[in-house]
Amino acid sequence: MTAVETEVTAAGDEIKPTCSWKIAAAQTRGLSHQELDLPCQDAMSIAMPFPGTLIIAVADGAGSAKESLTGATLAVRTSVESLCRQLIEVRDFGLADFHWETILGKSFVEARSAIEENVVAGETVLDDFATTLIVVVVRDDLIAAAQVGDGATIIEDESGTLQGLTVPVPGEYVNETIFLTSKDSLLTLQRRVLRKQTKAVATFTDGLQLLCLSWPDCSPSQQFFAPLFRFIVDSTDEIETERQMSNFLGSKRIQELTEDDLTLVLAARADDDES
Amino acid sequence: MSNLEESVEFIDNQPRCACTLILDTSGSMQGQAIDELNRGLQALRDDLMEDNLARRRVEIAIVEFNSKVRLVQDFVTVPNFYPPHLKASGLTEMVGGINMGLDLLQARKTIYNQNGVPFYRPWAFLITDGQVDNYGDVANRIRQDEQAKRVVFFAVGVKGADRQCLNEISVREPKMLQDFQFRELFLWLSNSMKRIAQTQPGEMVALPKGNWEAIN
Repeated sequence: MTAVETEVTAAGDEIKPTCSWKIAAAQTRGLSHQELDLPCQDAMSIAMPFPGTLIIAVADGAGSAKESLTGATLAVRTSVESLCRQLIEVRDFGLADFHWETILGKSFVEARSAIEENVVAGETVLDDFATTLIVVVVRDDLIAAAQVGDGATIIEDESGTLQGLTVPVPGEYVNETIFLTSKDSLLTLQRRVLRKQTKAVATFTDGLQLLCLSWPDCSPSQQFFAPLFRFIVDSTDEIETERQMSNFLGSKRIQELTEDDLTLVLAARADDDES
Repeated sequence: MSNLEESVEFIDNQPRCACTLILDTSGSMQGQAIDELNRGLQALRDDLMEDNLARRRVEIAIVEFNSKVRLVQDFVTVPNFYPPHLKASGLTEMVGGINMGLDLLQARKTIYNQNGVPFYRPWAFLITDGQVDNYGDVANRIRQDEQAKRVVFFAVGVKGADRQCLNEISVREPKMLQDFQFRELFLWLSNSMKRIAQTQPGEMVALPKGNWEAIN
């Protein structure tokens, strides 16, 4: 992957007015992990390199891989650091779609390299760090996302339309996926850049996907996401918002349907008068 | 602010794990063997019912073979599985039984795909005490199905079983049942199904150790 060309900054594009975002996140350890005395192997990272530009990363460490929590943590941390660094370097808000894809791709390359550097010869192999990774960059007039493996990023635009930005690619069997650490994983990297105003976005690991996406086309469920997005759009108190999200993920209704670790990050455009 | 927990509705996309039991009910199974087999099936149901996800996700079908091959139970989820009372008589039409069992799994996968139901790799579970000839074609079929990851095929031999035959048809090492420990065997199957039913994408399933195996 080549470095992002910085000439694009020379065009002198104006930095457009930014918006602000309400952000809330929650995570629960799955019942199956509790029974096997495993930690929650999901990781997430959120950053705002400039006002109005929000970066979200979530990763799901494979339950059967012994270093998967390290893999997931390295994946989110490295990809977010990489994106922050690259966006600060280019300092440009007039990037072409191609450049966004390059920037996203580079963050995944760096995340995979960071994991590779943690492999100790004779003790661990890359598969021990198996993890998925989803990264989203959302700004006033653009949303870009990339994903390897399961989980999804769903958005609601200003017209109220739901859309899957990145979604799982089902294999024949439900317990098959590709990990960031898998051979040739970056060839399967999904990258999406949309030039539109996003009202709300949800990014989550795979534990939720069978409860909110139709199968196998992975279109988002209106009954799931409409109330979820209304909730974050209407939210006023961050602590109360996250408390409700935690209760939601840990609720009996959800726990009866999945025993996986769950991670959910929600963001919504804040009204100007609140920002 | 609206209450999140009360306002969100879920899709119920429970993934399914189909398991076909291919059971030998030939005359040589008469007596203690068939009695223990029947008790084992009941133990399988009871044990799966206790697991929240396996109860929703595992689907069981039963094929028996003696002089004929018969579909005893088409696929049902565990709450709808009422174990049959099997009787033993006649010969050992094992090849036909295996073929029917594999056909059932293939048809089930087609139904899952047509209805957008996610699923795990299905299982075929053969139990026999018999000896048969001309199993070359079915052995090839099992080998191809295993290679293409279409199915997970297990063979368990009861006392008197032709080990050579089981070795040739099953890619996985066939197991010999100690005495008539069908209950322990089916509890192991139940535990294996539970583990599969809670696996997440990418996980390998470590099957539990069987305490019903004869040690030779």
